[in-house]
Amino acid sequence: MTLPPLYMVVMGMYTILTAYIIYLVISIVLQSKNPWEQATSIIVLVPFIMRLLFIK
Amino acid sequence: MSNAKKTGLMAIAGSLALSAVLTVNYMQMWHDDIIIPGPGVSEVKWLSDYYPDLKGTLGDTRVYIMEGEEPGGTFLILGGTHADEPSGNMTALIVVEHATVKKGRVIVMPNTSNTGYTNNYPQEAHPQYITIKQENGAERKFRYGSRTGNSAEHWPDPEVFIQYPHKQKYSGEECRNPNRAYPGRPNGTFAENVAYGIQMLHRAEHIDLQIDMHEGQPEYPFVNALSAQKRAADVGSMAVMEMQMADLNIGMETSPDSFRGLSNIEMGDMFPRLYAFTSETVNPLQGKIRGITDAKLTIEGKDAFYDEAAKLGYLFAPWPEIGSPLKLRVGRNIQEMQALATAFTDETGTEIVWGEDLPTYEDLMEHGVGYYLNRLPEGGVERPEIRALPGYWRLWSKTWTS
Repeated sequence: MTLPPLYMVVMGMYTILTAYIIYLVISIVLQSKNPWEQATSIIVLVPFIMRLLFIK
Repeated sequence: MSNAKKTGLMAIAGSLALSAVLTVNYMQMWHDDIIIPGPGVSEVKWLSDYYPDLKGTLGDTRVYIMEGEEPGGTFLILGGTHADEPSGNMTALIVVEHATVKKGRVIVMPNTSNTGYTNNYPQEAHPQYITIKQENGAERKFRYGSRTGNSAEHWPDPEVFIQYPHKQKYSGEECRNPNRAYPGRPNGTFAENVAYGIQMLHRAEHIDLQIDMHEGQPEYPFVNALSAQKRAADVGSMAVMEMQMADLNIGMETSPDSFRGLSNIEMGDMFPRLYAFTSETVNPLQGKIRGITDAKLTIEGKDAFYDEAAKLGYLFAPWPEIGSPLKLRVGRNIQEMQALATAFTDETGTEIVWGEDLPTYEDLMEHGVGYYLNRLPEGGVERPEIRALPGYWRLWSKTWTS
């Protein structure tokens, strides 16, 4: 069995980390009672979702 | 369901919707630009025809062969090495769509770093596209990319990029810079793979003369200039004198041996028959003291901050009242290609002669860039399909399908 290229491994780990951060933010948004805090989560979620898809 | 939960779900839905819109917008840059070859083009190839490993990647790019009526030397024109420097790309497109060759052969790559065209610099407020106006309201739209290739092809960047084979050290991001990747190698970075493809093209087509067209910021010392690999200095000097006689201010220098990885140095050192050059025009959109940053700035070339900087003597290049519009920069490039072909012919006796369709600097200044690009047919042309995914996605999809 050949290992995938190193950069695929690093990207895979990075993708897992990104997914975990998104999960944390979404959990906090759903628990929060502060609408302002919920609305501003967009500026965190959008770049992380883009990163998850590896769109810059 | 509580109100707090509802607003939370709305925020998440809004994030997903905005991400989807941005993703689709970003993916539009993965389509190739529409190019309509003119009568001078005899064959359209791909870089992967010379180096098959590039097939199915966004590093693969179109190679236009223009056979002259009579035999002679072979001239390779590289546009779009840096995808945020549009004058080289536009010059190459005018050659492909409008020019003819009388003696010799011209090979043109308008998007040398095609992967550079698949992403841009949104945080620099760079536009994704520029639109070139033509007569009667027609227009052509082209991508405005980034200096380096798509990071999805090679990630993460190292702290230090060590150039092959000379081991010169550059900052990590330069590992994606096509003009630090020469002579290239098959098992290196993605940029080195593409450079290796160009090396293979050199071997197959026996290139005699090469120009790689770049742009720089107005406050950069090396602009409005031609840089020659040291063996090509005589030909470059003759070309520069011819341009100066036509009242085009241009400087000339020999590329230093200590600046490795550049197309002119590495290819010139590798191929003894080759005369290799790099040129630079002035693009205010790349400058650090620019004002409003949009497509208009690179096309019209006017900027109040640069007007003021010129008055204070802070710029290295002359800054005329009209600024540095695209037509002026393309005009300079075209005049330079003409001058290089003449100087090469005089020096070596091997002829490269352009047909009469190649416009001059004055023609460009009078009519503009759009005049020399072909009109899209009635009803338009379908954009080319996305033919490959950036590396990360491509490798994942390969893993899933194998």
